[in-house]
Amino acid sequence: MRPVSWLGVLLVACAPTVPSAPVPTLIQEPHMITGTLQFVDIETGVWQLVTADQTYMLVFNQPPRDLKALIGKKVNVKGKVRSEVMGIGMAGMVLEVTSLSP
Amino acid sequence: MLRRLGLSLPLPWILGALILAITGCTQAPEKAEFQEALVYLEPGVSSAEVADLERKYQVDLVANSIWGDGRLWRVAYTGQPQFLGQLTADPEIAYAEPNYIYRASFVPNDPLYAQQWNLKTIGMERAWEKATGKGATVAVIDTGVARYLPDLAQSNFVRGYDFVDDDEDPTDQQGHGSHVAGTIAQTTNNSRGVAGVAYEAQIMPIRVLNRFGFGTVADISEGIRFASDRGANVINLSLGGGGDSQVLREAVDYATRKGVLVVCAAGNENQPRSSYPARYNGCLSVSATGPSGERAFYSNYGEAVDLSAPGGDKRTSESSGILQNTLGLGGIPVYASFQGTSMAAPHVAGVAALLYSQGIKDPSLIRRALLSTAQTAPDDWRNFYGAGKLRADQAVAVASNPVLYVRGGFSWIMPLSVLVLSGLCTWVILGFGDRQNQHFQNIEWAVFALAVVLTGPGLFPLEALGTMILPEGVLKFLAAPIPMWDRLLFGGYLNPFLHTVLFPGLLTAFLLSLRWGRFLALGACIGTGAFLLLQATVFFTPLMWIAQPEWARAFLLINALACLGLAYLAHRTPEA
Repeated sequence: MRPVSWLGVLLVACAPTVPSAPVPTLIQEPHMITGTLQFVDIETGVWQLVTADQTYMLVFNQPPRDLKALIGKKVNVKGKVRSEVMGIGMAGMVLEVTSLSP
Repeated sequence: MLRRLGLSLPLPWILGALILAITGCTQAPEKAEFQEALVYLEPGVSSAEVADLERKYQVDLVANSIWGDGRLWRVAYTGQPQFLGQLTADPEIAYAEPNYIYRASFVPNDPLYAQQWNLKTIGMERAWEKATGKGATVAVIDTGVARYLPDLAQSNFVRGYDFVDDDEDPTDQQGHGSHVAGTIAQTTNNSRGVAGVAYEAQIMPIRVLNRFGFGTVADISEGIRFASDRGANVINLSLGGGGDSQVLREAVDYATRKGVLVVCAAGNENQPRSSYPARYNGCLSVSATGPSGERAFYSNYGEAVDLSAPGGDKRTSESSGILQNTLGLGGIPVYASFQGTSMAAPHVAGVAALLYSQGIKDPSLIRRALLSTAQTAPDDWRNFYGAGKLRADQAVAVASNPVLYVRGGFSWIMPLSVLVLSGLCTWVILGFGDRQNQHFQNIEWAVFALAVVLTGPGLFPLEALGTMILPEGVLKFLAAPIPMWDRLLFGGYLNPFLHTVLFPGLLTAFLLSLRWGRFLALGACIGTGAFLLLQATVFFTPLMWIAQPEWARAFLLINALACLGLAYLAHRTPEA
């Protein structure tokens, strides 16, 4: 085998044919998402909605009163992903909540 | 063959260990100063005899206190041990020994300081002896700062701005920004509450996040530009999100061009990448550690993480968080323990302010001082800690000893395993790939060994050293094997290319026909092969674009075998 033909061998070996990490699609319109409500004691406290493939960080304009009772339970959240919003939590994709129901 | 291999391979390590030993000697822990000796007299020596002793040795004997038994005296001397020997030999003196002056480091009198494990961990007591941040301005771009808090009462402030309500009053309504500002410049040594890292620095409070802790990229970007224009030296961004934003990136670049160091929290998602804005090249991304010094469970790591600092880990107890003065319910002042990478970043921003106040004004130099003095975390192949763990005392000491210093700690399990494995591979491949006209000269073995070392284990003892006279990361560069250079070059984009057969393959393609080049190529194949084999198995290292660990392992394994196969074939190819 001549040295030049090594190039063929190594190029084949280098070609990454494996899937890359899934890129989450941005939901710009209000959307219904079902997941588990969680409260994490990070920073000043973060409300999260955990679905099978994504963790959302919830932003409330007016948090519902009975939120604590729903921790660990499945909830339906209507909301909008706000990719232009940042926060102190840094623990998931920012989801601005318009309504939340068990 | 093995004997030669055994002789040539350890040579760089012996050299490395030698360097380490020499520099280790020059960097012995600072001993207490003594220019005074204690003289203990034999019983029954009269005061006249004491006066005789003074005349005899031309010294002044001073009683230590009025409570002494008349036998213990202090004497000033030049520090020569021979003099103490002379005194001890005197029949009237029982013994003489140096009187060590134990210098107590600065311990602030704030009553809750004892609970601030985080400040002790980064060596603040020694750092405060040299710098307190006077003259530096740190912009806290956050939920604002509540200046009325009792433990911010004597802290220094400059005018900030509220970009949420668009007014001149950036008072915190949430608590987060005040906590962060407290870590940087809490009023210290005021017999109240807690201490802060750079307590004489000025805080520029900039409110960009609302009372729920959220804000828009537009406000954050404007806040960064405002701080850069109004004379901030360091910006602390304890905030983030998942989205890349051109506006925000340009604001960070603007700050960097203006000579401002931007320190960011790496994020709390427990993911192998910093969140934005920490992921930008212009930002110093800080991951969080708990009281044990281990990475905190929530902290991001891996991509773009530059440095780690205490951020708290409250899984064990509430006191394992970071304690500062902040707002409680209804805006009442409380001392609260938080955990998060938001708490880690202000430690770094505070130490950066200390460095600025010491006269290191160039942000790239501040950055280099922070990174090159951080305590190395051994075997950190997932990049939990970046350059290492923040050391305030080492960072402020760098001004007096910039040439070479010991940061302590270097990885050895992985490099030594690579070394053993590459030795094994050499024996198997070169031993079995039998060729008739095999003449390995000494110099060829040396070239081969050099290539194995540079691509396999790296000159790893260099990791324990730091210097300010070389560009940032040169020692780290030499300490890391070539496949790990992706961590140091082009923001990580060389990963996973460097973790493939590509580099040794190219060397083989171009150098196989050259006399020494062939040994360089062989060494690179075996070194890289052994390294990738271990990364695929025992010391698994995640890859950038291959999220699934199984796929990443398979990818590494295929490339490791390709390297070793290439070495075998290259060895069997007759010399041109």
